[in-house]
Amino acid sequence: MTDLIASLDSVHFSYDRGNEVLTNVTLQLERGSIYVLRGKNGAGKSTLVGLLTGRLAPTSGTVTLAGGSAPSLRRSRSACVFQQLSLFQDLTVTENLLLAAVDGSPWRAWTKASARAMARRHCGKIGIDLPLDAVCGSLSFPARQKLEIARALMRRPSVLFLDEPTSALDSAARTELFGVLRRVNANGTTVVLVTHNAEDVAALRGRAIDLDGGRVVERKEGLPSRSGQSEVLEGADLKQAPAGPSESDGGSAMSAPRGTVPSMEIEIASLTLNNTVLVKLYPRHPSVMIFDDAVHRSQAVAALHEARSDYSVRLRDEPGGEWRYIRSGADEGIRVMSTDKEQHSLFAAMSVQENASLLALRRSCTAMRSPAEEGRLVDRIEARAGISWPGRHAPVGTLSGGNQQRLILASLLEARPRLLVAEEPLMGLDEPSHDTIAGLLLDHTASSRNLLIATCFPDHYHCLGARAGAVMHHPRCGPKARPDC
Amino acid sequence: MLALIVACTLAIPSFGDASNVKNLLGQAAPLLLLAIGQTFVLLIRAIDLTQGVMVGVSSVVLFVLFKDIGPVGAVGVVLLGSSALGAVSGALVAKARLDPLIGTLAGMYILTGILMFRTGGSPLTETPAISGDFLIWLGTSSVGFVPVSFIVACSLAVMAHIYLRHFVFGLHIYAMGSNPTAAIAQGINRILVFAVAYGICGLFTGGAAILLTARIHQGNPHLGEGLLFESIGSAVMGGVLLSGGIGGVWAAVRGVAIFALIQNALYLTDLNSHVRDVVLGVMIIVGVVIKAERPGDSA
Repeated sequence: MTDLIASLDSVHFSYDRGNEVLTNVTLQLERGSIYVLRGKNGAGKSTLVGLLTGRLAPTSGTVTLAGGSAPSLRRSRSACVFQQLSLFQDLTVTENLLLAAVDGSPWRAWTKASARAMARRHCGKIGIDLPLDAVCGSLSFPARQKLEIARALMRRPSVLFLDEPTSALDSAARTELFGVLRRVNANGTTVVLVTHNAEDVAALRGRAIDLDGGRVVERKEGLPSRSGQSEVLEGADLKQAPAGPSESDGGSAMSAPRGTVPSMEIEIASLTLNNTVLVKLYPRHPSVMIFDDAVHRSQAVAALHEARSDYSVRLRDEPGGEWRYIRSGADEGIRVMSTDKEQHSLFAAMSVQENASLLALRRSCTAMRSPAEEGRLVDRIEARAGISWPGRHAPVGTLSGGNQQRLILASLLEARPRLLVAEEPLMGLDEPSHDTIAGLLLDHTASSRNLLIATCFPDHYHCLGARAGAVMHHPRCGPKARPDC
Repeated sequence: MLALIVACTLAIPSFGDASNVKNLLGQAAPLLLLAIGQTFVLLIRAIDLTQGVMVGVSSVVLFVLFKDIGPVGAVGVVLLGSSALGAVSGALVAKARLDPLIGTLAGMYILTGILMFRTGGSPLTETPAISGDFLIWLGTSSVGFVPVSFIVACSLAVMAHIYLRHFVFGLHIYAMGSNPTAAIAQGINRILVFAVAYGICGLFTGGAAILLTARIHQGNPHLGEGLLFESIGSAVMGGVLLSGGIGGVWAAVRGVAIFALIQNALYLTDLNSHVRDVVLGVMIIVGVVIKAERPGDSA
């Protein structure tokens, strides 16, 4: 008899007052396998993970995990890494790991040295490199994501669920993670990974479960590998992208447009890396700020909307103009779309309409809210970004990750920011969402507004006619080409 | 709540009497204002521990000013002063990035010290006749069996609800409590939001102090003792979360209604006052647990 870790029988699920997210799902997961859960944004992947972990209860049907009907997470010895991280921000990395280690045995005694040794041993065993004495809140989002995975593995789970864990990781971190997951699986842990990224699917060589319209189709061994993401970006749907300067112009795809005066210049100085870059922004041309690693990308983006002790940011409105330091990007008309949307952009407990209103409408705080105006705004965003949602008054936390991303971007663009800073805006998206987001970004630059993309993968943004505005190196890395810096 | 009213009416014969209903509404009016004020602060993920002592300060100031500038001026000064004091303390907490609990705890000690130093801890009872008339009218008059003080409190509750739900600033308050990082990233001014939320809390606290002073016809520095925890308890029991972003004026109204009903019913029984406290504490826990299991209706 096959050893199952999860079994779903005729399961239906819908959120409060919403449409059915999962319809008649029957599924069996075998122990010791790697499963890759795929589907478009809003297909119900995260909801399915919620059911498989016992976090959500089905509207109808039966969920059986590791032999019992709807058992608790602890009883089924499963661990989850969700898009929304559950770390203790004010504790150190070692303390976060320690809490996972002593889960269930609060009387166990530790010294600082033994806790640190335990954390070092654990990180070494699973092959994740983390600054053990750093406070969690001071880490970048990718680093926190790695810590979350390390915490989950601390419990030696029999099943490990990962909900889009690679969406904010650079290629090196992603390769590192897959190595960890393969090692974990080789030791008998079942791995269930939710992802959009074709490269992730191929790298893990798992069994695919495709979700389509809330229904599950399980495939047999071997996943058909999609073409690389850069090929997708250059596909037919994106041919409307403004053409970059040709080689005959003397420029390259990553150079500044000739004869054009920058409409804004930003200088970002990393005080810890002792590194300063100048970003030149040109009207109608998206600029790309290239990073060697995701950690510094997230930190630099964070510095553009909030004051940080380790970065200083200043800008000037025209070349030769006067520099001024900025403490809050919002005060300068700068809006930021970070990969860490739960922390930086979304108000999870508030409704879709309230989120859109906060992100998009620039009103005096003494003004009265207009339900009609907010309704029209939501209609515009819905039409422009092609979002499907259970209702405009539903909490935004019930939207899928892709729809949340569309909502954030469409709302931010409604505010007509002077500069939109987008951190890896095309990463971790399925094709329809990718095309929608790319289209929204192109619309933004077409209206002579500035767009700065922070990325570790500049090739992904050729489709936008993007050019390098700056390259920020980590001192340990070798220099890259630095066009127009 | 309906079940609670029916149970109290059946169990305690005098509970439904017009005089008791009038008394219940009169008792609930100041607590309603305090709970609404505290709700504004709780919504931004903060707390105001100065509420109790502010009631004492406002009561004494009101009584003193009656003699010099009359009732209208005194009421105006108390409301303006309490809201200004609240706004300043909110701005300080936000600007200095103090933990609201510690910041307002310090404020509570400072105000208590000043108040006791100036009054010696003794109540003031002598007022000019005209001011006394005003206080008697506010504290004892009623329309039918509904006290004027309750009508005033309900009117202010409606205004607070409109402000919170239908003005942009109300949205900013919810945003600051729901996700402070995202709120700041969207350009919402943290200091302004704190100043206004604490200012509104101060305004409602001043209002509550006026109603209480009118009810007992006395400027009493000890008037607010115990009220701080009643206001926080009522708001939380109604569905306002201490973690911010969830709840609203109706949640505070619901919490105060339950709290006042239980308190009033217990007073009508022959229970020892200490036993009453125990029962009240248990009822608060039951109320909060029931509310936590039904989080959806916390507007």
